[in-house]
Amino acid sequence: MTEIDRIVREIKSLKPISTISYKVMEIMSDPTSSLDELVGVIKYDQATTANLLRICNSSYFGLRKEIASVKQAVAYLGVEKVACLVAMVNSGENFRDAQAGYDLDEGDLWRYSVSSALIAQDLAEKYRIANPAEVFTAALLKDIGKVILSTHVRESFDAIMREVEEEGLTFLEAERKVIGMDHAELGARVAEYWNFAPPLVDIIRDHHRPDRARPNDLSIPIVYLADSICMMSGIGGGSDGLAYRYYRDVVDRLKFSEMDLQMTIINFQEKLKGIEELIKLAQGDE
Amino acid sequence: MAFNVLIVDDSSSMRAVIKKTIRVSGFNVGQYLEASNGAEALEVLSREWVDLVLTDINMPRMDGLELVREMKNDELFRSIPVVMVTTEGSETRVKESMELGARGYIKKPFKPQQIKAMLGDIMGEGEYESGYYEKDEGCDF
Amino acid sequence: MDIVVGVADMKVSNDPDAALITYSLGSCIGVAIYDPVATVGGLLHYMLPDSKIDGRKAQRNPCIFGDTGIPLLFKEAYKIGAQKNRLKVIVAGGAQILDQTGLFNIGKRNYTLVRKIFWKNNVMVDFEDVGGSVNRTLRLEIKTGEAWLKISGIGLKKI
Repeated sequence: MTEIDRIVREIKSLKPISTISYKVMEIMSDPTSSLDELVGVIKYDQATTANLLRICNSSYFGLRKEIASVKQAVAYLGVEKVACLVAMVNSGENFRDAQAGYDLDEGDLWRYSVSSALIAQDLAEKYRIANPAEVFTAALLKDIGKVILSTHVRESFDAIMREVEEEGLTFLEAERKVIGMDHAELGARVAEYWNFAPPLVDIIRDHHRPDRARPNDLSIPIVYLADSICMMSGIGGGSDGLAYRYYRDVVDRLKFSEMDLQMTIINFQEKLKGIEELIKLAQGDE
Repeated sequence: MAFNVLIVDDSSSMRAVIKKTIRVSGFNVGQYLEASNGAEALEVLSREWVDLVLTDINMPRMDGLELVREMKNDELFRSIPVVMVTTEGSETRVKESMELGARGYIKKPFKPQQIKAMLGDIMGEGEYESGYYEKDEGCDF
Repeated sequence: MDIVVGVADMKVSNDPDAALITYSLGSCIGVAIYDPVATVGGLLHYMLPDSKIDGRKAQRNPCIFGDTGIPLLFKEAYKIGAQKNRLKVIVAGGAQILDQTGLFNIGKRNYTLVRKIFWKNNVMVDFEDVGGSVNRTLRLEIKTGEAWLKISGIGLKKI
């Protein structure tokens, strides 16, 4: 069995995605689905409902009225946001441990993932993406590959850093060169294993390679942008740091300006405390 | 608005002449900085706040062209305007330095009015954000 | 006891049992100052250089921006006994994504700002570790004034 086979086998050891997440993803990608279907599916899962309502009532959303039902949540926050929150509530467990290879402590990777997903969500709204919940979910889960790859990165860390520092490779390219696979490709394999829709798999695979996106696809560039902003903003980054490429054409295609960047960072900063609370509540911690 | 000017030339007497000419011209200089070649100039640039560089072309260790190239490759220095101070017969090298990104050139010996006009033109353009603050404005903290 | 300085945050302390620490600087800049005579230390973690872009936000949280955060850091330190001429100053951070030719050059801009503001205010930097593409963590012990810099994945060094 090759090293890569061994790595891929570890996918099975991840906690599987919950049924409710699948159902919600299915509903969100079907334009004929109704609000009631979504509400019905969520209501059925008590734990998710409880966490969802706690989050809706948190200071992050600053809603004046207390949300007491899923239906109300959808009415006040909208279908897209609720779908995103469901994804958040049900996906954190795999990310929770420390990933020593990336020098990430417990909670760091999840905090980073949630932050980048929230930024991606804002950008998806700004660019009027058809399925913002899909962009959110992809951004949320894009680094799942790091969870598995961490031990391998740790073992080969010196070799990887040499490639980065001396050969000028990105961390991703160095992972691939030294280990045989990078965390984005691995993440895509996980998404495939979990039977995610192809667009979601693609976003995860190419979140560091937006140059590979189709010219009229904005989802991948958006997740790339959100990820870049997170890296720069000092949110639980790891040993891979900012060793990733800048794709000018992609950013130009989005017509994302210097002002846009700074305003996004400022808006993100305002949400930071709220994000901590969001994460705690999503975990079901009291 | 006063500007910090860095004069780069391997001859100290030439640097003195340039400094005097600028002073006489009345162009508003905050601080005069000096270097005897391109490499030294880069050291000064990383230590001090420089708004404008006036450089000779032929110098040992690192010449004027190389200095322009290095500055344009540096995020921090690339927006600092560079003026080449040229001599008779260095036309090709001047052309090359302009292609590399130098903002202008002036042939020596030059008169005070000439240098004032040139520097005034360059520094007067809105796109360059001067980093120099009047020291006697006092500290904020 | 570690006192965490978050993103767009600033803390000063004269508690000898305390250490100020800020994680994962990325493109942000961390400024640490220390007065060994008064045993006062301060640490700022700012995200963007110039508050001109959003004055209102700067008023609500001056630590987002270097031009409002840095003066605040020093002034708060003076309030608990620090004196400017005794201060040791450390700057870290300002990392950038690779191939930086434009938009994502926040790291360099943040660094330019701190140099500019220190130059104007006659502040000398005693130690700096900026640039590259690495994540840095900066820690300052109040009792001793010892500072530690961790470069993620590479290691810890005493400054």
